[in-house]
This record gives sequence, structure tokens and C-alpha cells, in this order.
Amino acid sequence: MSVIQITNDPISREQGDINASELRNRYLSGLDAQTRDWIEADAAVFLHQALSTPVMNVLSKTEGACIYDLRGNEYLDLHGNGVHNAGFSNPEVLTAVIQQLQSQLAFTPRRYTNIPAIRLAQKLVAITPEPLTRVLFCPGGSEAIEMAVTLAKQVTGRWKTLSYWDSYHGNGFQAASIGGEEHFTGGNGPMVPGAFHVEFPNYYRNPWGLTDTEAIDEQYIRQLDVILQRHPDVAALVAEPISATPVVPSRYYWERVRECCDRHGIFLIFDEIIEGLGRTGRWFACEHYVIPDVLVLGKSLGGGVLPLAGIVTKEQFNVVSHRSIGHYTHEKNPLSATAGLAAIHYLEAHRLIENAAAMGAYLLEGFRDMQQRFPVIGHVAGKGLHIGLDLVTDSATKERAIFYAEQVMYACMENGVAFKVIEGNVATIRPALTITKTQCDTILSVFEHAFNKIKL
Amino acid sequence: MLNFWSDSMGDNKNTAKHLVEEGDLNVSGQRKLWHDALTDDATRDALQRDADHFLHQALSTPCLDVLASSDGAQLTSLAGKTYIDFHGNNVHQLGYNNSFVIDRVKQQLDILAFCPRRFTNLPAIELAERLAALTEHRLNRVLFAPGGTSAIGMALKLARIHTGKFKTLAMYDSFHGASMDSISLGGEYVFQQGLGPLMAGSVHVPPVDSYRGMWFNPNDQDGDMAYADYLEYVLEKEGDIGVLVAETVRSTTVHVPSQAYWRRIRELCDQHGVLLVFDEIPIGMGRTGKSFAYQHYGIVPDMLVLGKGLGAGIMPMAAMLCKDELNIAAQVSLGHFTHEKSPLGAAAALAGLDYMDAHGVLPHVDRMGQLMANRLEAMKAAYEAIGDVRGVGLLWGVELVKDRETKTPDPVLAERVLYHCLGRGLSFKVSGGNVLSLYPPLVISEQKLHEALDILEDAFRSNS
Ligand SMILES: Cc1ncc(COP(=O)(O)O)c(C=O)c1O
Ligand SMILES: Cc1ncc(COP(=O)(O)O)c(C=O)c1O
Repeated sequence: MSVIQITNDPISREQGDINASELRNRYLSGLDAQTRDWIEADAAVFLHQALSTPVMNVLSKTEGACIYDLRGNEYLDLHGNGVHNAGFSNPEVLTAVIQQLQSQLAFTPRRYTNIPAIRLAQKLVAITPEPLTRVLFCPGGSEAIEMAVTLAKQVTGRWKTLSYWDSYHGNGFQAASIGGEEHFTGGNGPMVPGAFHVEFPNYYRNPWGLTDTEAIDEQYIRQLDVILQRHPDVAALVAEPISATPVVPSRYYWERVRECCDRHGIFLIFDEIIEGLGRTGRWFACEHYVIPDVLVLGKSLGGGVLPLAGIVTKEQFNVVSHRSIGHYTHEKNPLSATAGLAAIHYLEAHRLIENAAAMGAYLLEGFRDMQQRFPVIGHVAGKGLHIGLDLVTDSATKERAIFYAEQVMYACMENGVAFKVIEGNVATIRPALTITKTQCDTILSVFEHAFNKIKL
Repeated sequence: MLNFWSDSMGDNKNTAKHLVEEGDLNVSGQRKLWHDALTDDATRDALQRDADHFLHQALSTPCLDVLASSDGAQLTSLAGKTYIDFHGNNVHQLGYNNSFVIDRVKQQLDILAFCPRRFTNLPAIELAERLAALTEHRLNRVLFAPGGTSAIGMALKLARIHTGKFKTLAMYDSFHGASMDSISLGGEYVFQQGLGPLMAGSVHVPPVDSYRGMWFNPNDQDGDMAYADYLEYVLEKEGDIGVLVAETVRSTTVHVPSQAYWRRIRELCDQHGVLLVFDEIPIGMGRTGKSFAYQHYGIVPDMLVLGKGLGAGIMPMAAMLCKDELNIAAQVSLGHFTHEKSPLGAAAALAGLDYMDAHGVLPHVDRMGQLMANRLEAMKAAYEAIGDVRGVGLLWGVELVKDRETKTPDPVLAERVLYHCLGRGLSFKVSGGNVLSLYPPLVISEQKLHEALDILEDAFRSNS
């Protein structure tokens, strides 16, 4: 008998809105013929995937906080796969990349170094919390998660990991094993051994019906203790400081986890691939909480143009000079480093971290206000420009309003606002940090319009 | 002296022994002499800053030199020294900073640089179609990723889902990437050591070695068939292997299997319901004189993995191509990497392919490959230390020995030759301790190729 079973279950909606729904079909049939031809050409040649091919539309350009389809329709993109902190096609990033291309250094083999890579590493050391001083780069976030975990394994001499259900940390086998979503492990057979999971705090949906934050935290910490009593030899605990939906944990929670890691000699690894570089209103989300042993960055690190990810760790862990924990071809890629450096300078020069904090607070307030009028908004959470609306069919039972959320998504799309739905019913709002107050008003009014129009 | 050398190796000799399998190290005696001889202040300063900020690694930081620019076959250091690059991490197939490619990438920057995953874009579609066409539409389904390692992971997942089997078969000594899955799949102890339990079901067999392989029969034209026989034995004994992943031609130590070998393996895979995946990350896109190395063998794999040169020396870009019948994973996400359908990566790759067509790169590889073969053979005739010369197209390995009879490897000489060449402006990698790995850019001119081989020959002359 085959060890791996392919389920015939409907496609999981944990990670995002899917491309096989009835509403998707209706949306597609509303597109023009040329666009549909390209979507078909795309579907004919790419391997079909639950969350990419077949796609929902074809892009022709991106600019600032917006993306444009082939017809020139503009959408404020609240998703951007997280690469757009400095805005899409940021002109300063593009200029820097073009200059770097012209100065004839687009790639350096791994045995050589180059000045853009050194500069970016220095800059990251400067803007990350003080004890984080050592950098290693690679092209993708999933790979950077691997490097962080490999570093922890090499330094601790252990191999088990602890992480959170429902989290996503990338899609190599190691990253998928650490992640807590069925979608990326189901049907795959044996994954990387030693991956333990606990629940991420969820104040709104905590199963004990508790309302006191600290009491809720205690319950979640208990889950960690249960595992660590039996498996004290864990190499690393991997987490996003704020979860993707987002749940914004209390400072107390992370302080307790940090203590726990210290007590057991466990690496605390923060995945800030989405949350780093300003999204939460600070340079790094960990600044709201505690300092990790390894900070993992990606997505916007490449300036929204190039693939670039990496880790920043403490000086005391610079002890793997006899090993290759990364060893990726594009390790110190000068072009990607140039893009990243230009994006960071842009964020700095235009005070976009402050803007994220201010616009985030403005949007949160707007959505909380809307929540009063629309009980379908069960919960509004966020930090900076990392916001989620938990849509429910009933505010008492908190049942997830899955079909409703999808309807809202397509309605907003029609009115020029694109966002992603995760866990089936949570609308996630993560615009470029360049977003203006006027654009925030547009977002609010497009949502309001959708909530008005669509009835449960 | 640059003070990063005060770092101790921090580990035992065992590690160093295994490390040389992957490449020349940055902790050797010759390397120290090299650094002591770097006198340019700006270079020393940059190397120090590099060593101060990056996590130290056996094969990257601390680095050999600082690059300021690159062009065609050549790298230029901060101090103005040039190196003809026979290594390039195999990203440099079309030469460094190929201006044709750069112009197209610059154009694309003004149009659409990034595309979130739920949308598609024209360059990505065109590249997928173009790659499928290069396989004569035998491999007509495509999935992209930013790095080769990630593309290998996608192939492994697809194989598991298609076959329902999780065991993998690969060659000892092989490298397929630096993540837990590709490290488990690959056969290099140096990457596996210290990581705890690896992925379950990672089975390995010995790779073809036509020079010192224990099963190689030098008296037979298809002397490597015993390796296929053993592979068959393992497939039978293991019973439920789902996928065989291999480099069509081993890139670092350069071993070129016979036609009979791959044809037999293709048959065995079909008989046992095993998917055959070729990792052509370093050698696809023309290095062997054909678009893809498998095209030398009259067989088609079930999946083909590309990377490195695919991004035309400019963009990180990798791909997994497979047969249409493997388009069965629509309910999951094999890849799901942020930069999936990168319009910029696709523009670079398409420009690279256009360049190859317009400039007759493949016939050029044949001609230069012949030239290289002749010169290396002539060197072998002249210098006792060269035990073996192997290769195809512009992918060559030169094995150095202390004694041709006993074939005792000579890593000390290999290192001396390497630093002699680096000093005179030729860069390459040493694999397996004693094999010079020589991969010039495919666009190298005849004159540059001679110049580089003159440097190499001079190194043999001075060290014999
Ligand atoms: C939190 C988080 N971690 C890791 C990753 C993986 O990054 P990449 O897609 O670059 O491999 C992602 C990407 O979606 C992410 O959101
Ligand atoms: C044969 C082979 N496979 C896979 C890889 C991994 O590719 P990347 O470094 O792009 O992840 C390499 C890179 O060195 C390689 O040589």
C-alpha cells in the first residue's frame, strides 16, 4: 500500500484564497478576451498549484502601492507577497539596480566578496537590535529559515524544533516541517523529524473562554512547558513575533518564551520575512518584544525587485566557519544587495516606518469604527500596517464567515482594492508602507461599500 | 596579517577531510599566503569588513578577494587585478554582464519587476513556453523558484505525490542543494554532519567514476555498466524508491557516463515505477554543447531541474520542468516561493536564450570544447602529474596524481596550481581535493581560452 495518501478533500484555505472556487470562475468570466487568453496560456504551461496557477489575472505594471492588470485597471494591493514595503517599482531602487547593472557587477561567485553586499550587511547590523551583528544571505526566505535552523542545530548539537500550528515559514521540507499547515505537509510522507508544534496565542479565539490576557498567555505557555519537560533538548523555537492573521501577542508572552529558551539553551528564531523592515511600525517586530538569537529577513529585503533573504545573528554564534550552513549560489549577490540597500535608505529617508505606525493606527481606528456598524467584523487586530479582519457569521459563536469573506474579496477587487484572505475568513491588510492617508480612506470606503452591499 | 585568521577551525580534522570534497577551502596554508600578499589597502579593508559582518563559512566568508566589476569571461578586483573565471558558480554561462541581457533586464525593470503569485505576467509565460520548446515539448509543464535548491525540493515533493513513495535514490558525493531535503538527498557527508536525523528514506549508490571507480571496466567502451547493475540491485532490494535524482554529467569532478548507462537507467526507472530527475542546475543551458545535457543520451527524464545559468548571470532564477502527465498536484503547493513567476528573472532568461540563438553559442561551445580537449590532452602528455582529463563541451576536470600507476591523489599540487593560476589571473575551483574543475563561460573567445590555458600550462611547468 502506498504510504502517501492523496486526499480528495477540498483544497485547504489555511494559507490563502484558492483558485478553484465558484466565485473565482465568475470573476474570470468577467475578464476581457485578451486577458483570458494569457491566463489560459499560463495554465497550459505551468504546473497547476493550489495558490498560484491557474491565476486570477495578468499584471502589466506595478507602481507605489498599486498593481495594474493588462487593461490598465489599478488595484491598491494589500498583499504584494510582502515584497512591497518600499512600494512596488520604487524609483530609487530601480535607479540603484540599473546603476549596479551598469557598473558591471551583477553577480560574484561565492569565494569573492563585493562592496554592495558588505554595505547591506553593515546596514542591517546597524538597524537591527544591538546584539545582532552577523549576517548570512541567500535568495529565498524558505532557504533563510533553513540557515537559521541549521545554525541552531550546529551550535546546540541538537536537532529538534518547536514552532506553531498554522504558521508558514516556507516550503522546503525543513521549512514546511516547521510550519504548521496541513497544506504544505499533507500527502508528502515523512517530513524532517523532530518538529514539535504548539498553538500560537489567540486572545479572540482562545478555547478556554478566558478574557484576561495574562491568564490566556499562561495557558499557551503551559503547552510549551508540556513539550519541553519531555523534550528539553530542542535546538530552536521558530516563530513570527506577530502571527500572520495577525494575532499580536502580549509582551509578557514573548518575555516568558525568551526566558524559557534561555533556561533550556534553545535558540529563539524570529521569522520577520514579512514583519521586518518597518511593517509593524518599528524597523523589526521583535523591537515590540524581545531580542531573538536569529532574526530571519526576506521579501522586502530585495527591494520588491530581486529575490533576497538572510539571517542576522549574535556574535557568539559566529562559530561555523568550518561548515557551510548556507552555501547558496546567490549568497552575496551584489544586485540584490543594491536593491535592498536602496529600499532601506528609501524607508529611512521618507520616514516610512513612522508612516507605517501612523497609517496603521489610522486604518485600525477606521476598521474598529466599522466593526461597530458591521457585526460581521468579529475582530480587528494589527500592529502598524499588518492588519487583519476576522469575519464571522455570528459574533457570539465566532463562526468563520468563509463564503462571505470570499465575496468581500471579489467585491473589493472590482473596486480596485486587492487583498488576501487567510484561514478562510481573515482579510489581511498589508499595503506598501508608502501608503497615504487618501489611499487609506479609499481602502476603508471600498471595504465599507462591500460590507454594505454583501449580506450574510 | 588580517586578523580573521585568528579564528580557529573549531572542529576536528575529520571535517576538513570531508570539506575538500566540495571545494578548495579558505583555511589552507596557501590561502593564508595569498592573503598576506594582498597589499592594496582598500582591498584589505573591504575583506576585513566582510569578515567582520558576515557569518564565517567554510567556502565563502572570509573571501579570497573583493570584486569591483566583471565583463565577459573576466572578473576585476578592487585593486584592478583581472581573473579569467573558469568557475563563476556556473552562473556565468553567457559571460559576466552580458550587455544584451542587461539591456533587456533594464527594459523589464521599467515595465514590471515583480508579480505577486496570484497573478501571472507575459515574460514568465513566454519563458515557460520557450523552455518547453527546447525539450521538444517532452517536458511541457514548468514551475519556477528563485534558487536551485528550492527547485530540487519541488521535484522531490512532486515525486512523492505522484508515486505515493517517499524514498529517494541519489549518488554518493552528489550535491543537490543546501536545505535539509536536498542535503538528505545528496551524498556529501560534510553537509549532513551535525544536523541530527536527516530525511527518512534517502538511499545512495556509488556514482560512475571512469578513472578510479572500483567497478569501472576500462577495457569496455561501456565500462560503467556495473554501476547500473548495482543501481538495479538497490531498486529491487529497497522495493519502493520513488525517485532517482542525479546530475546527467557530474559537474564538479566531471564524470561523463556512457550512453548505455543512462539508457539502461531510464529502462530501470520505467520498470520500477521510479521517476528520473536530472539536476542540470550547473550544466543546463548549453554547458555540454546541447541545451540540456540529457539530450546527448537519447532519453528524456521525467523532470529536469535548471538554475544558475538560467538567470543569464544576472538574476537568481531556477525551474523545474516535467512531463504533462505529472501535472497532478493542483490541490497542493509544491513551490509557493515568493518569487515564483518573476518577470525580471524571466526577462533575463529569455534574453539569455535569444542571445544563445543569435550568437550561435552552442556551436561555439563545440568548437571551444574541442580546442580545450586538445590542449588538455597535450598537457597530459607533457606532465606526469596529470592523471586524467575528462569532459564534454566546456565542462572539464583535470585530475592530479602523485603517480600515474597508483593514481595517488595530489591535493598539495592541486592547491599550488590553483594559487599559481589565481596569482596570474585565472580562477577555477578544485573539487574532491585533487581535481581542477574548469568551466569557462560559454562565450569565451578562442584567444581568451588560449590565454587561460597558457596560464594553466605555465602552472604545471613551474610546479613539475
Ligand atoms: C512568514 C514567512 N516565512 C517564510 C516565507 C518564505 O519565503 P520565500 O517565499 O521567500 O521562500 C514566507 C513567504 O511567504 C513568509 O510569509
Ligand atoms: C548540481 C547542483 N544542484 C543544486 C545546486 C543548488 O543550487 P542553488 O545554489 O541555486 O540553490 C547546485 C549549486 O551549487 C548544484 O551545483
